[in-house]
Amino acid sequence: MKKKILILILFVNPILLTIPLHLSAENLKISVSGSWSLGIDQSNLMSGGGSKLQSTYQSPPDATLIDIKADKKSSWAVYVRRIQLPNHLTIDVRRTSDGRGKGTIEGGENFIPLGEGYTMLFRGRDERKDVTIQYRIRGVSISISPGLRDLQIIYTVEEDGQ
Amino acid sequence: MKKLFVVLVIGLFVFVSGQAMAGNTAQQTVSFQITAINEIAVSGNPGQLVVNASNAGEDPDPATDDTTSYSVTTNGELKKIVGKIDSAMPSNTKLEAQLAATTGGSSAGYVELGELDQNLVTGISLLSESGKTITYRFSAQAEAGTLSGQRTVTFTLTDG
Repeated sequence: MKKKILILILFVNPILLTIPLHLSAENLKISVSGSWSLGIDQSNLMSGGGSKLQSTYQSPPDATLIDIKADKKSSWAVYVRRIQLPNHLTIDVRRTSDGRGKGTIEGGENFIPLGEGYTMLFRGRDERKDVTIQYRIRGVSISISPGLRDLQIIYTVEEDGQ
Repeated sequence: MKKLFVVLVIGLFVFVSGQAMAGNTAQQTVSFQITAINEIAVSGNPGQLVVNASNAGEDPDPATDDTTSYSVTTNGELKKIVGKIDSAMPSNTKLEAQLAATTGGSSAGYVELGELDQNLVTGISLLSESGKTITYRFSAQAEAGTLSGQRTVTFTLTDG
């Protein structure tokens, strides 16, 4: 009898433990919308021919909208990183609004420079929608050759242990 | 009972650690375009270039002016500055211009200006510089006689 119970638990236990955890992971989702296209030309020279290019540019405060879909009371954190960036350029990101929804949100109000590794941008609980994000590019100079460049920004949401 | 407890603990450990890195990712592209920038400007107009009477048997001394300067910004490579005047100079006279070289560039020295573009500075790449001296030299032979006039000089930053 004991053996039967043991076998039953061996099969059932993982299933019982897995169901709520998988549901939790599936219900924690991030979606990102919006875009920012920055154009730089001679009008960005500080004072015409012979002057330097303005080095810092900011996107509109709502360049990106982030939605977090999460279970009630689940805590999460949003991390961000960038993939490629021309030499001498820095891209910063910050949260410019709390968005809306039942949950809470905190952190990320100041610009954070993005690297190739993930950096935590903000954290919260429950669902939040339309959290606005602003970008800033620094280090633009005349020594950067003309052309179109795409900067890849990766957002990820994780369950937050805190 | 002890065995059951062990099974439960192991099950919990395996599946919690399996979910610890679970998450959801979204990607966004920020596009960033720099167009070609090729700007040149001058500080103003030079003073009047006056050639006075010479000693008997000699041509008059040329008149020079180095009171103006140019500024240039380019994110291109191997650009050059060319210059021309809007109409030909009178017979037996010439107007020359000499532009100071930019960093890394080469000045052609004094170049006689005509109605076609002449190279003045070459090898200009990825820079923004200002206050580079422009020197004009106006010379006339005795045969030119007495005259006066005005010319518009156009400098262009173009592909080398």
